[in-house]
Amino acid sequence: MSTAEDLMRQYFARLEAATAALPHDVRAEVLADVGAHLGQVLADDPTEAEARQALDRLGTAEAIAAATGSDWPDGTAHGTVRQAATEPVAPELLDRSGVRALDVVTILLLAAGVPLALAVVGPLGLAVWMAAVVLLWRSPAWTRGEKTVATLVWPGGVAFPIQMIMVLETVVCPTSVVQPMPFTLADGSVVAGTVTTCEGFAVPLWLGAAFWVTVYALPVVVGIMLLRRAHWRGAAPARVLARSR
Amino acid sequence: MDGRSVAQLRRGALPHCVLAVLAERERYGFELVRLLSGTYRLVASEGTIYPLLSRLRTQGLVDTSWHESDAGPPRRYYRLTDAGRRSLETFRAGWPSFRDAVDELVMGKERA
Repeated sequence: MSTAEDLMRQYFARLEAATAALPHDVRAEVLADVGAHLGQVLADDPTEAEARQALDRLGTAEAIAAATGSDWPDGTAHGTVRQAATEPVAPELLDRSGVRALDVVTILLLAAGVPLALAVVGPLGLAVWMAAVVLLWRSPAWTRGEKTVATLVWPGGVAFPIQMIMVLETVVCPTSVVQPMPFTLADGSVVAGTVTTCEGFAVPLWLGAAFWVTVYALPVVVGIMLLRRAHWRGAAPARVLARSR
Repeated sequence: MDGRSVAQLRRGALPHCVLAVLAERERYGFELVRLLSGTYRLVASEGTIYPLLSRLRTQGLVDTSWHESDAGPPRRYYRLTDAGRRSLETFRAGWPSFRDAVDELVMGKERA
């Protein structure tokens, strides 16, 4: 463990303690922004002197915490700023506050749309999915790229090509052709039988399988991605420390 | 009275300066810090801008969104809301008379 990392750990421990009394979202935002700041200022593997200088320029943890206080001209105080407590806050606690409840709801709704649509209540599933997409695009937690991926990959998004393939199957093989095929039994008697063939192109098994894997697996992957990104953004200190490791 | 009173005035003006900078275009936190701390020397402790941004957000004066960056992880951008724009206009309307009055009262004798 480098000394630069020790310095940053201590600094974030002090900052976490000093901001403990702030509302969760404010605290998470400040910690994330300060973390991102250090990520910008410092190289991947900063020396002790570089880290010390960057932290000096940031100001003391107590000064930063105090700057959230009520001394702004039009300020409505949103919580008394506590002086640095002796016990640093457990990082797990901080991490959990990083993800907004609404973002978790968004992810769950996105996921709920599919089973609902696949079950009998198609229109309801579609409505749920559309509501989730609106929430997704309104959330500040994800970038435009991530929102695009989540919209396209999510079952609501891939539902269209899936529908298409099903339509295609019925179109290319509109009616199975039933032909008479009598066959002879061992005792010589002839029994009337039929053989059913499909004329033209049928969707190959691997393609169908690929689509179903997409339907079930990709959304899970995307959901985890969304959650992790939202989670990270509320817990940037850990990210900075990870960078300096 | 000591040097702290100037620092206090500077701190009082800072939110309005942030709003003014964001009125041009949206920026991410570090960009604002470089501008206000580096170029204009309005803040001594760079880190104090972040709680200010968060405060402006909870007051509804700025809004945030994440954007991909060319290098490194996505960044949180801050932009002015309509309320922020109105707040800035109010400050702009009151500032010149305040500045001139203080100027005249405080610096008046030296000028004479």
